[in-house]
Amino acid sequence: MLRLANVTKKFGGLAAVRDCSYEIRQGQITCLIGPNGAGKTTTFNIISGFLRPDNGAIYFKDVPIEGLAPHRIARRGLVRTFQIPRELNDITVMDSLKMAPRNDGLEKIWAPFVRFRRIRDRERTLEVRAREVLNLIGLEKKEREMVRSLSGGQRKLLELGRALMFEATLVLLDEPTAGVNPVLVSRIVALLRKLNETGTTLFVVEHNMDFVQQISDHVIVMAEGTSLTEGTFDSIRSHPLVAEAYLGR
Amino acid sequence: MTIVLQSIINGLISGAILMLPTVGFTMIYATLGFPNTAIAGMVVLGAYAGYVASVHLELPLALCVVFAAIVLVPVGVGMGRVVFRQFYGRKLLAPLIAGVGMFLILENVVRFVWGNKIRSLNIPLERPWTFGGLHLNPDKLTIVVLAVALVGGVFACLKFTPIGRAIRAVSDDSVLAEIRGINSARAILVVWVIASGLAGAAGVLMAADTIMTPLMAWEILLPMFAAAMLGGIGSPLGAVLGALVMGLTTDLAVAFLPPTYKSAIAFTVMVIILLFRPHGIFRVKL
Amino acid sequence: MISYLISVGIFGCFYGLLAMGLSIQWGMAGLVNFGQVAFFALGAYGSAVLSLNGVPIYLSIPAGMFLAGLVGALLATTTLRLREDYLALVTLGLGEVVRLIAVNEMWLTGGAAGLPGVPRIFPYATTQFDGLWFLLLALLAVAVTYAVLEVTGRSPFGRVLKAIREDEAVPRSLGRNVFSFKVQAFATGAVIAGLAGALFAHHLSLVAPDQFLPVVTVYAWIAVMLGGQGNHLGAFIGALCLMAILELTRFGKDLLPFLENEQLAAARIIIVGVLLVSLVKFCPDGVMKKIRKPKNA
Repeated sequence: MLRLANVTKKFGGLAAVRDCSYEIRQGQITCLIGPNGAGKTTTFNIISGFLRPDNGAIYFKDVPIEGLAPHRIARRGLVRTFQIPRELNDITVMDSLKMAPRNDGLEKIWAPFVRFRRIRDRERTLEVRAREVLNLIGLEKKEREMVRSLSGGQRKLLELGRALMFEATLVLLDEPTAGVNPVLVSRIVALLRKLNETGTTLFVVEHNMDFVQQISDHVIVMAEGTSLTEGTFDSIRSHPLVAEAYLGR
Repeated sequence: MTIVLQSIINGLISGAILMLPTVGFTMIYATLGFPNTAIAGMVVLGAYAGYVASVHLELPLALCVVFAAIVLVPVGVGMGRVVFRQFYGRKLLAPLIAGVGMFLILENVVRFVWGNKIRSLNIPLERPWTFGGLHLNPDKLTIVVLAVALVGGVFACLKFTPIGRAIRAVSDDSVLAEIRGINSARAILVVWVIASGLAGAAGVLMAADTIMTPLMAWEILLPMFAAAMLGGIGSPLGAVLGALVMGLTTDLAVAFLPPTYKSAIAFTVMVIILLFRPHGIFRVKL
Repeated sequence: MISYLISVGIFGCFYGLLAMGLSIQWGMAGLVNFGQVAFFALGAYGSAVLSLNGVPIYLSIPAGMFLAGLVGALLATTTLRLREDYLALVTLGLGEVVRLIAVNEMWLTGGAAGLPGVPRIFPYATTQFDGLWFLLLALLAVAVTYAVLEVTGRSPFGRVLKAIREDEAVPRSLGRNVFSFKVQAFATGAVIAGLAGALFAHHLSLVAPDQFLPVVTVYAWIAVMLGGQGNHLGAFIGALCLMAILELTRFGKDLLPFLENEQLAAARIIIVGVLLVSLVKFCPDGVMKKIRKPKNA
């Protein structure tokens, strides 16, 4: 589904990502783990088009996407979330979800004056979908509130909710449980499972090893910009390099 | 041919003058992250401070420049303290609007005190040197020498003194500089001192080169933006090169276009840079 | 007295429209336009030149708006693609360049003296009624613009625009071409300024370069800052407040009779500058937002 081939990105003289090659298989939940500064978020930024790789190729559904603008990559069905919840403070929770699905024709500035009926119909369906998603992520009571009133964990859930609304085929999640309280973590696990069952492939950066153990089909270990090894959680856990580089002690 | 050579000479002179506010502008951009339009207002105020020194105190040009720089430093530092300090690290918009407001205030304070009429400094007339149809006034040479000396002084300070190193560190990365124990508040204070002093000096030199009216503020504003953008905004050395290129371009173009279009040339340069080299044409560090 | 108030009201509408143009650019999309006067001038000269050459007013006004919008779209396309932080500088420059062209291109713009005799919209009305009718027309323009902005704000377009203003990485990662949204918003703001300009030309029946000084942009910014980010009605009310302040300063002549006219004009702009700086410093979110938090902002 997503294949990286010798991807390299340097900042100054320093290679943040060095010669990375691996593949994310369709229908799986793949976790990317590694110590801080291993280049995980940089990898995500490269895949989603926010950074341009210095070298190497990225194929999504066998089409090269490296160097494309972020919105073009997203249009192919690849959505990402952010490590620090990037949230739209002065927008209601409902609007934040409703803005996720894209419709170029109805999002033109003149559309509300020319195609108001189609917009009205679409808004209704969006609202129904958004309510379903809100129930799923447990924020149904927050529908009318501004996003700024949400906690960090709730924002993470809302981001997931937008990925749900967008109906992406591949979702990149950057630390979905960072700063989230344990109760919400189990909710996120359930949600990701559900998302995965409906056919969405997931690629997750995560530090929480329990979480990784619970959710991953496949794990890729990164350190100092390169992919060290990969395999199932149990197989990589016993790998000496991993123990040294990451699981430690 | 003579016209072209004469334009090159004139362009180098106006470019040398333009260096001063542009270096200040770009240093404020590098350390504080916003384009400070108020610099152009300080240039006008500097010109009229120089007028006081030249006509009322009857000082020679070099001392007028020093006088204006000294007068402008408290103005700039005070402005930084009172108006801009609360915006440090905030979004671009607020300090930008405040800068435009300060620009208007300074320009019109000058209008209020000295009126709209055209004035000039009290510089004794000297016979221009001529070589093969080219003219160069000795006092123009003084202008260039003074401008180069001032900018050279600022660069020496940036390069060799501890505070200069601190300023460069803050320009590169203010968070990192703070972590490394650099007193960024002091560095920023010195940047304000340098920027306002240079602006004041530039005003006097502009007035000595031609004449002065409150409209000077607008004549310097767009060339200053364009020069800073040419050099890659935030780079003092780039600002120097950008200013020389802007001076030459403007004076060469004016040889063929109506002189009233000077500002339009700066605007055209800005648009061309944005289209093709948005990070400036000179890739220089410092 | 009444005709004086009408005239003040009409100018309030002009500044209100300019401010509403900024309200979509800055309030909704976060774009900083410091050359609103350029689009105002383009609308005015565009409509004036056409109608002086026999084009009927109901066509020349839309043409003036179109011209302003076109230049706005071109400028936004060149600037926003690569360095958004330069937009403020480039628009400030555009304001000067448009004025320079107006001063220098005699054949087109009549130079510094301007173009007199621009056709009026209500040629048969007596002077006093002309003002009244025009005020109603200007208010209608304000009302329609307000309605358009509100509808746009609630539309799918407006929703994405708000998201862009908050953090454009999010809409980008959801497949939105952020650049295109910004260009559309900027051009719309320019069209509104063009409308103000066109109406202005046909109201005064004269366009001249010294009506399009940079301070006009500052007036529009003050109005929009009085109203608060994203509050379109606030921008209009802000413009009316500004008009009141500006008109009050006219009485300065009576209070300070020893000042020359030139000095009074300068003092007025100093007051405007101080007002602008204090607004940014003390209520960056707008005065009206301090008083009443508008819903759906």
